[in-house]
Amino acid sequence: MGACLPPGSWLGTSMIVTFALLSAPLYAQDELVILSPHWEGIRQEFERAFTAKHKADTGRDVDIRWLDVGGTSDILRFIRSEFSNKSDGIGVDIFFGGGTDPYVELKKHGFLQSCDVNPRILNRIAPSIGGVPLYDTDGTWYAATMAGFGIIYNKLVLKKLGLAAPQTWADLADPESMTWVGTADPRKSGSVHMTYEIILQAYGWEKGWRVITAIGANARGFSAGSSQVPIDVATGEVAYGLAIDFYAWAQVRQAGPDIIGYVMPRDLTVVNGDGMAMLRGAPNPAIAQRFIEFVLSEEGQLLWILKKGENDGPVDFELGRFTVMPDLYARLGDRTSVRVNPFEWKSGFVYDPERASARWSLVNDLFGAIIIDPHRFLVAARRAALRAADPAQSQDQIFALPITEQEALQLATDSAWDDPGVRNRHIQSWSANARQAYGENPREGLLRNLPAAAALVLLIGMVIYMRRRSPGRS
Amino acid sequence: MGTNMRALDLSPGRLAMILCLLVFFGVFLIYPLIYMTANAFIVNGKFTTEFFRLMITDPTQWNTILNSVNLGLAVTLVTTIISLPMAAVMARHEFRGKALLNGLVLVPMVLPPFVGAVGMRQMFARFGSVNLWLLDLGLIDQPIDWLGGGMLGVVIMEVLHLYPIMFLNVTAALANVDPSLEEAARGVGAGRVSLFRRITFPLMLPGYFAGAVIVFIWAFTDLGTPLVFEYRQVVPVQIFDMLSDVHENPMGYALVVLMLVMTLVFFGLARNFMSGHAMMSRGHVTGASSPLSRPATIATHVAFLGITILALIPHFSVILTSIADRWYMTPLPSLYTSKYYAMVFDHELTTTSIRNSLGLSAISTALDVVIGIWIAYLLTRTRIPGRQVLDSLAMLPLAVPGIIIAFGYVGTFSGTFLDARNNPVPLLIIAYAVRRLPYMVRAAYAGFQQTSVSLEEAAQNVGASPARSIRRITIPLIFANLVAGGILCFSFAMLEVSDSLILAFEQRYYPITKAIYNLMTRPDGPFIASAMGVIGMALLMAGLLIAGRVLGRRMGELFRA
Amino acid sequence: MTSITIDSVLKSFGDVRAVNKVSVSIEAGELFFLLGPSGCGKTTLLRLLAGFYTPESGRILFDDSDVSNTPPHKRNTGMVFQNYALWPHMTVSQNLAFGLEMHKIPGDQRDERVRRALESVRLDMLAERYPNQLSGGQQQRVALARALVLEPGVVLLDEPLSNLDARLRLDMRHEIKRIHTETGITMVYVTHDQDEALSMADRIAVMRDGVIEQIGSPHELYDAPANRFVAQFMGETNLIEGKVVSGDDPIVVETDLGMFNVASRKTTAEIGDSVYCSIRPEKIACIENTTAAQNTVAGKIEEVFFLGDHEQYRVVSASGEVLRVSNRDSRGRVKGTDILLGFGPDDAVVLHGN
Repeated sequence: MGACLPPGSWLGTSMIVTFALLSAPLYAQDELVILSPHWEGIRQEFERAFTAKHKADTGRDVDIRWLDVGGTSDILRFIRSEFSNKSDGIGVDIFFGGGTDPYVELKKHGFLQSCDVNPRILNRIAPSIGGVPLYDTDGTWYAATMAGFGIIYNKLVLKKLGLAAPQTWADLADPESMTWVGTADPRKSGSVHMTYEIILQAYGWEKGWRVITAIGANARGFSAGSSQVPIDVATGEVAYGLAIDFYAWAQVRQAGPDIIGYVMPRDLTVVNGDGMAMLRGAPNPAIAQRFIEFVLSEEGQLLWILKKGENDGPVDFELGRFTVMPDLYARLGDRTSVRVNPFEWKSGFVYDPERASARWSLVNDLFGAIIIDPHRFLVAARRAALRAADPAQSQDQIFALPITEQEALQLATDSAWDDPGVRNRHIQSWSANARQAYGENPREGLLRNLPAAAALVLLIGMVIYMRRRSPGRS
Repeated sequence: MGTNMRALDLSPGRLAMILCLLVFFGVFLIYPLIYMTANAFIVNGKFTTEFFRLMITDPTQWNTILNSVNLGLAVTLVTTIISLPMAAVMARHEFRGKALLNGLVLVPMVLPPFVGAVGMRQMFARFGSVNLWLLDLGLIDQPIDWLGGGMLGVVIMEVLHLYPIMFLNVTAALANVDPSLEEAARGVGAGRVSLFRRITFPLMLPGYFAGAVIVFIWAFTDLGTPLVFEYRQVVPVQIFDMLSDVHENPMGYALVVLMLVMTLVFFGLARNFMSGHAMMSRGHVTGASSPLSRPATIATHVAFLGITILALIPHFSVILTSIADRWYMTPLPSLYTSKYYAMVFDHELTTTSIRNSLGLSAISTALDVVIGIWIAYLLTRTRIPGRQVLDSLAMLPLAVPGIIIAFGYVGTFSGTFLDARNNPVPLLIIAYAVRRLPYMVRAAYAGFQQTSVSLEEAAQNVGASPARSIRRITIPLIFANLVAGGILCFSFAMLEVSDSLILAFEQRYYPITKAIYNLMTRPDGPFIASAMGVIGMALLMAGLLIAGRVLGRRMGELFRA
Repeated sequence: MTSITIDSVLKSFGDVRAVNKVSVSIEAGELFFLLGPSGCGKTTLLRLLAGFYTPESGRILFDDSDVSNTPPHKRNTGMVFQNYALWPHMTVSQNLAFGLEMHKIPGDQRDERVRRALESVRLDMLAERYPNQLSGGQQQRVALARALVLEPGVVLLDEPLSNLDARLRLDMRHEIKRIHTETGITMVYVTHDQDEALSMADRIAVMRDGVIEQIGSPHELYDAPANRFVAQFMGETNLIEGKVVSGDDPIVVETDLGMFNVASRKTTAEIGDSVYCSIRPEKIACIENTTAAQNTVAGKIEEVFFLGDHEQYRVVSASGEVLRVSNRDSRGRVKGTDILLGFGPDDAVVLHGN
């Protein structure tokens, strides 16, 4: 039969062997699967340190598998979607990063598995910041670090545009800043969502949405990841944007403080826990527990905050993140470039994570329906309103909100928002409302269909023409 | 062996090959398409067209579709405007430096638009190099909005990448128009205009159509470029976004079906007309071409060089970005460095991804070579039934965009041992292989056709089995074709965007493109990403040069419907 | 040495029966020719012997073993292809060694046999050349050597000389004939060139439309063709339509040119049959007077072709029939001359009309 083997089978055979070798999992005694929106530097530092620690403690090799399905919102949708398919575990041990609110939400759905952290370690962690807990008393989630929310800006661009450095969120809503604001899509980026939620809670629902809508109208676009915003600010594509503290500080280090500035609006923002949790049905619960304890221990906490190359610090990447261990701030001195102690930070309000997590998805949908999807109309409407005789009154129409805070909370807490039908109906009606409020020009809509229609006619013409000419028919 | 088998030209070996191929195509091409179609129409066990209705009734959805169509149309239109005159001059005239210009046209292809976009954003930002330069010169007092908030940048980027493909197709179409037909028409007194209208245009139209279809499909389905430009209201990006709740929201499947139907229809039309066209005018390719006058030659050179320089701006900006140490708010970098290249080679993410891409591409290329040889063998050397089907299956990936294949794999193989979330290596290899298989089949097919069957028969006659005679005689003889096809497969696999972004979930399996996409989120991301892009560019350029040298003018035939 | 038996072999392509139930026996050591116009099925028959086709029905035996379904590489035949099919990426000696390698002949023996084979075709000094560095005749001899080096039971030659120029073709005929004599291998040789067949063959099978019209030695075919087709195909001939009026020996045939006496040989013509008289041009003599022993025809020379060693005339008879006549003796006749032609009863053959 050998003679009958198809040609190329030698190559095929050798390929299958290589294939098998390549696709076989790397050899390791233990495994840990982590789902995380954290960037490469964080992953690499924690992987290196934890692997070494695990080896030292247990003598076993651990292989950490980092899954990437996108930003925090993508991860949430992914977890939900996967659990709907495999309810007793989705093959992931830990969800790492993404703020506080997602954990509150995931806990509510029962997707988290509580794990008890050694009290010796937990005692050194602050239980809360600005009134917001840093870990769940049931042990389902723990803040691994913290994030502050603020505005990054390009000093040179602002100078060229004749604009002042921003102080508050409302500065981004100023008509002068039109097209010069960078922001991400809150439906994709957890941190940008968080920023908008902070604005809502800082200013209150009505005024908050007014500011958000105006920021949206000023926005250049809505990128998928919040990390794009600092880059756009640095290249001069936009003048300022919403950014988490560490992205902004990293950009300041990269581009220089003479070009890039960062401000956390006084009294109007918070520093918030950035959590981690074991997922229900985690395949490696014991190792997951060890990882969580490691991150919360001083060894893990030093990785966040120390400069690159310091003893016990990160080796390849400076992470520049807050630690949740308050006593470290005073002790580190020059060994860290984190100059702010968030525990001394005062907010003008107390952030409510329960409310925030309940309406997480609703706020995103509303933002999408009235700001992102009809963005062109929103911008045009705002331009028109500013030119109008009474700008303030004209703008009121634009900023009219289709839903009150009570209604929103009602919808969100009744879990009506989990019903795709209800959700889609609301989104559609908001969207239609918004388009009407922004004075969408139906003629313009038709115009946009024109190229496609013309092309279709041309295509059909070409097809008929060629058909008539093709041989055997003429 | 029964008489039936003999009549069908089947031997056990061939039967095994056909079965392997059918299983391969069935599992990795047809089944995912069926799976997605079924999921788009059957939700919770009930048939529904709800999601297709939504596409039209929901203004946001409709707008997305419209954006994609308009994007595809704009790219097709602009590439046509650029390529048509260029091709006309090339196909009909002789002049000094023609070969050089012919080669120059292909240069823009070496940069994946996805990477080019990184550099473009650096240069064409509102306070990027170009505007700062113009502002410094006092030519403008307000920054020009080059990227126009999305679509424009994507169109420019894709046009600059795709016009060579259009050029190759139009040149081939014109070369296929037998000049003697034109001369004959002139002989009977046809004027220039009526000559074009009656002879040249109808004869080249199918060839042009094929090129236009490829360009349209490419632009319509490209994921990487809109993603980097953050122009998210297009169908491929929407599909990409639907990935995370693939189990809960069938809208992704519905969009895939819409895209698939469109590409299949266009592709089918193009194939249909190309086959008729081949009968009309194949054969006479060489013909009288008239020399150009000196001024016309200079004008041609200026035009070609101008377009090439324009097309190379993204390349230039990527190279510049990759060596910029500080490049903020200055027309050119204020400090230069090679550290980003060093980082490429000592960071875990980048080194792993380069290793992964090399491995994945090499294996997928090997797979392509084997399958390509099998298919070309079956098509040229046997009279087995269903060869047409095999041919169509092998060419189908040209019409099935990478994003559809990748999206289909995620859904179809979820929960099986091939699940990309556990280990994307097998599916990545297969996705790369499937995507580029048509190029390999065409290259191998051309080789088999050029090689006389009697050489194999002579080998069998002296005692070599059919498989051995292919291996020892035909394969060495068509090696150049296989190398050329292989290089194309390999280079494209190295820079495959949608499959890589969608299928590789885990950092240790990231291919180069996914690493680049990931790196962009770092503050120094654009610089490292550009350095990787330059390396990729060098690689693809070398690949295309070698392939072009080996294949010569047949190169153009690989890039058409 | 292998004998070949082809037993009512059928092979069709679509609706066309390329080889239609052909039966032939080829003896061991024979140089056997398959002759016929293009499309007659001769090459198909050869490829059936080589194993590139398998018969739909019927059998092919090499000696006593049925090889009908044996694949080509197990048949032990050596084939010379029309286009030589030399592997361009291998040198001459590699071309020869390939088959030996396939048969797992050890290296030292391999070299020796390659050398011997190249010597036998007088190409030993070109062993390290590549095929494209050789002339047509040299390539031809390499192809031959490649077919012979395995010492196969049967050598199959498919129009081997058709790509050579006229001079070389003559040389190669001798070469092949010499090799056949020296090796004594059974050879089956396909050609459409009757000169080649006549000059070289032990026996010839003339084929038309997938069937064999006649098998015989060159002499038999030339002098006693079985039918009009064979007569016409085997060199030039004059065919004169007529009717048998007397069945005795000699047969008397009535034609427009007059009554001809023809030796009966084995013809089965009966009185009243429509027949043709076939007379080769060189069998017709230019004579001075009519004699009783000969059939005579009077005519006028319409055209003269000078062919070096002889002249050929186009003669038109009084009744308007055209005859071709070869004349080697008294030359110098000119166009327009009246002429008297004669041929004996043994010079003509009676053929059936169909």
